[in-house]
Amino acid sequence: MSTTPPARVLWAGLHLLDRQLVDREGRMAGVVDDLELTPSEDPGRLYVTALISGPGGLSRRLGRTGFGDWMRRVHAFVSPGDDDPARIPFNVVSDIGDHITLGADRESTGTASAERWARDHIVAHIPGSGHAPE
Amino acid sequence: MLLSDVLHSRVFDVDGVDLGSVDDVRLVQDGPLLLPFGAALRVDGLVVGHAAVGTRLGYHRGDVTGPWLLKTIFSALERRAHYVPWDQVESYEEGEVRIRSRGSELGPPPA
Repeated sequence: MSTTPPARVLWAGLHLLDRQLVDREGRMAGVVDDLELTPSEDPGRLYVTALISGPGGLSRRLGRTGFGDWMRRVHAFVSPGDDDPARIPFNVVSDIGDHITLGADRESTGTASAERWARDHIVAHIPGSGHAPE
Repeated sequence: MLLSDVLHSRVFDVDGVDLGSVDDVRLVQDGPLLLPFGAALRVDGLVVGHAAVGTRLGYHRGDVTGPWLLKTIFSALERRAHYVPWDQVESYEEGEVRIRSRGSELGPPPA
């Protein structure tokens, strides 16, 4: 007789918020700043449907403080045209552990754009930076 | 809605008693299938109380087992917290969550 294993339990703040996102190539792809929760057709049920990543998501979590607004303005300056925060549908997530693995490239998820800007415009001009591991 | 709409919100019971703020949200992976991840994460309930520091450090609900003194302190704090099953949530807006039950009827957070 087979028994169904108990469903996995996660704590949103402990296991998901601020976790590192890693894309399918193993590259850093930002962190989780918030979660999108969507009611289902069953009354009273709410599911996690997307991860939110980016200064816009963090500033909302911080309560739109001056620091949060400043972060959003900096992000808009260095990454004009990027959606902020990025919304990553949960069906792109392939694993949750000490980091969160995505089944997509970070370019397609639109995350970590500020880090990419810093890499291309600042770090790339530092002698020897071409040999630096990510 | 977003998790941040409820996280750290004040929680009031059916009599209007302030029970504390939402420290964390319990998720159970038993929802509709979302490949390649698996079953979707369902919001099961809210932890309400004053155990946020211990929670963020992974004590009691996490896998951290020591040092024993910190584990004991944070576990005691956690036992004073309330657990609000999501079906007891009446409304949430503007940093306030209102529930259908009394604080005295709520149990501690599940392990």
